Amino acid sequence: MILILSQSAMEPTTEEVMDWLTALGGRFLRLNGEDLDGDAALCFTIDGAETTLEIAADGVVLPLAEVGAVWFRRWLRERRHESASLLELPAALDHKLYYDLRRNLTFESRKLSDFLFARFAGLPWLSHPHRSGTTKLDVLTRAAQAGLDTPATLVTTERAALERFAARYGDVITKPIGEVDLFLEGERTHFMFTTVLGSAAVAALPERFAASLFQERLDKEYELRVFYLAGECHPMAIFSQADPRTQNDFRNYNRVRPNRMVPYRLRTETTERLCRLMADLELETGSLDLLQTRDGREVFLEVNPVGQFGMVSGPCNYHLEKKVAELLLRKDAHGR
Amino acid sequence: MADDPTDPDDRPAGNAGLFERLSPEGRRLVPVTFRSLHTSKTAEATFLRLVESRPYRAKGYACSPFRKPISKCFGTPAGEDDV
Repeated sequence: MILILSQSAMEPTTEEVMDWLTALGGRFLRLNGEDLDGDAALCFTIDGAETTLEIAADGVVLPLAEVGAVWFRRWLRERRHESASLLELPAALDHKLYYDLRRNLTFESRKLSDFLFARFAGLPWLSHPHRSGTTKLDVLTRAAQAGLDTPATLVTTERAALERFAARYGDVITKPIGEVDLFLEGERTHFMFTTVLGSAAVAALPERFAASLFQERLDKEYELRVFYLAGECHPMAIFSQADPRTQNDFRNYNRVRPNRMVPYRLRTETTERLCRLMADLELETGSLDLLQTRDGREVFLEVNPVGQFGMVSGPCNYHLEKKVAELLLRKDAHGR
Repeated sequence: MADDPTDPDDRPAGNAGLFERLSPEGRRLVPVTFRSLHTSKTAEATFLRLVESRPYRAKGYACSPFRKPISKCFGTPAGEDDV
């Protein structure tokens, strides 16, 4: 039996793979992160040398002892307590207490999750939570070492260093060292996009600022999204440059006239180097972002180990959901 | 198009952005990306953008209508858990 670790909402990929597992005759059970948050009954007991873990949902005890392989797809949203009303007081009256309460709840559930994952340590996994949180700068370093073309990158606190970098590469872009984020503020939302900094914007910065990430601005011909699965690359080209709206970031979607997306063939050496990078990162799956520049470079940008792949699978007819299901079934057969 | 979060900044005139409202310490602590936050009205389209960019941050169930909203499954025949 395959154990699927996922989340209860916003996760269509899990359902697609579950449909394929059903069609292929596989047995599986799905545990959502929210199940540990009260959606299911959990009971872990240590009684002398004997330990038991029991999770029941809708009156049915999950047959955890039959699990032969695990697919880590998604899990708890760590910041889910931010919108909860934890105190009778309005949040504005005691910011620090709210922050401390949320932090405690997050740490508690993280430790419980770590324990649960460790219970299945001896089984084959597809994706693992301890390898799903890659660091952009570490990945870029390893990608360059694997021979991939990567954008010139600078992390600095110094305007002078940025000016020297910009003098060499022209316009630069800035983006988070971690992940893009957004801030909801009542009726307004503040988004963090990749932003181009011209010389005037650089000159307007203070001499010293918080550590920030800058990269050369690449002249894109088209963007590439590659889903990697167990040694195979599934590339797609996204023609985002004809639309001013999607030129800097195709995720700034044009819903009226979407970008054209087609199957693509990477250069052989790029495919080999991507596979080498994924092996180095110990990842069996990942959504890789690359782009093709107008001067012929195939440049690697970043990888998301648990990225969605429906957007590649559908337009390119790759049937990735079926391939994932088949891989899980093979792991399950091997693990039992 | 004012509801579209991907449109140019639609802040009311004279209403400062988030960076401009940070304290001197706040401005010192945030990276350069905070100087170019894109501010827009929160609306349905905002949540669609949220769903697409960081699915695990959104609340509620809002995926394409042809997807099945299954929350738990024990290998039951397809469709049995449909809501």
